[in-house]
Amino acid sequence: MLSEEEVKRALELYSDMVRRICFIYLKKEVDVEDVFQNVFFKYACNTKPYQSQEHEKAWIIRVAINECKSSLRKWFYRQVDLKEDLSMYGMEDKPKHPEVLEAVLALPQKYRDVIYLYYYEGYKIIEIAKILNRQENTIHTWMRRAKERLKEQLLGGEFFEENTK
Amino acid sequence: MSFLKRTLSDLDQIKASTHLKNKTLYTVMQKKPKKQVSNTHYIFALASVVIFVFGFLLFPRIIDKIEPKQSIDAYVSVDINPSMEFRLDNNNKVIDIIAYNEEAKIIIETVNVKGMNVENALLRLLENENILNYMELGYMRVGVYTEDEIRSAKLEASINQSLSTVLKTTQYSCARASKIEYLEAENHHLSFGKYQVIELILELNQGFTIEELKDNSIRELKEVYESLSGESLSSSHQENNGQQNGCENGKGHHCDNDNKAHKK
Repeated sequence: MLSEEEVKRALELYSDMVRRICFIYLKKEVDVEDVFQNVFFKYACNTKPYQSQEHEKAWIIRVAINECKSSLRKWFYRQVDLKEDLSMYGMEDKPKHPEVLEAVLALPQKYRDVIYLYYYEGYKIIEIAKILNRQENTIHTWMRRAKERLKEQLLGGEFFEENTK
Repeated sequence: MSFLKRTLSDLDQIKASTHLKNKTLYTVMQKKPKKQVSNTHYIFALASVVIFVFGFLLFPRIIDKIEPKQSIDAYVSVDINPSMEFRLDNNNKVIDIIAYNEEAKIIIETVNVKGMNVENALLRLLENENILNYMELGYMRVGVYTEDEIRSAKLEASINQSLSTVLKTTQYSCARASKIEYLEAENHHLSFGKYQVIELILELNQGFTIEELKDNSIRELKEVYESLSGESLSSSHQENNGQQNGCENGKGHHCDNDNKAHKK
């Protein structure tokens, strides 16, 4: 198991990123703590060296996404329809385009992953394919479908068209 | 900078609190990693599984008592690029799947539909990523064959109903096959659904041969048929007979009673 210093370093580097992934997936604050603990516990137990810091980051993203998915499989989520509420995430400034953010959060999980990793984290399609353990073509397809859904949702596409140039 | 990127920059505000980080650090360092399972345990577990499996293989009577042999009562062919055939029991549950090409072998290895009823099996197939990729520009042809014509008609109708919930009418068709078509397809090592379409083409242009056409995808065969006949493959069986027998469903998908291939 890694030392406390090493885990602390990882928390400083990656906790905001893991928090954002939880934001995209989870609807209950209490589950964020569970996910955090599981992700960094797995990090602490993984003594195999990483090829680079990028490799380490990609590893953590994958584990965080998997932990969020495990959390969502709990029976509670199947029983309760929890609404998205951006205010619970403590955003100090109002989002500039809350309707777009909500539209992204309303996408199916796999499409949200791709949009987040591509547009926010800046990964290329081939890198996203490795992180999510999918074929490149699949990621291209998901990206296209995600954009189509966003286009449909956001005022019939006019809003999206004007602002995606 | 793209619009989505600008919008998602709102996520910069999402941060892990100091409290969360400290609590996580404390909890992680308190936990102990699970004990590593030694290789001996894995070898023992593997040996147990092997003995168990061989036990069943060496004593078929045990298998028969637990799982009585199922007879195949109906056949449903599925052609896109992958070409396969579901074999069904008398409850329309899939008990076996046959692949007619390499693409289908890959699909069968990754999609487990045995034990499912055929409608759900088709829907499960349509959730597979590879199938979705094929269907992007592809077309699905489903064939139904049983010796019981009433059952064939019901199966065809229920499959049409099921597929219409996930596919557009231009993306698929489903038709019954006759015993002759089923047997001829078998002779040519083809799925009978594909064989039916090839037969329709051969009726229009005898310059083609089965050997020339058999490796084409259903989409390609559909295009050949439609260029020769001037009509859509999806509607090729929608004749007055279908309507008279009342098997046309509300969405206008065809039901086949006397399709052209039956004339053979």
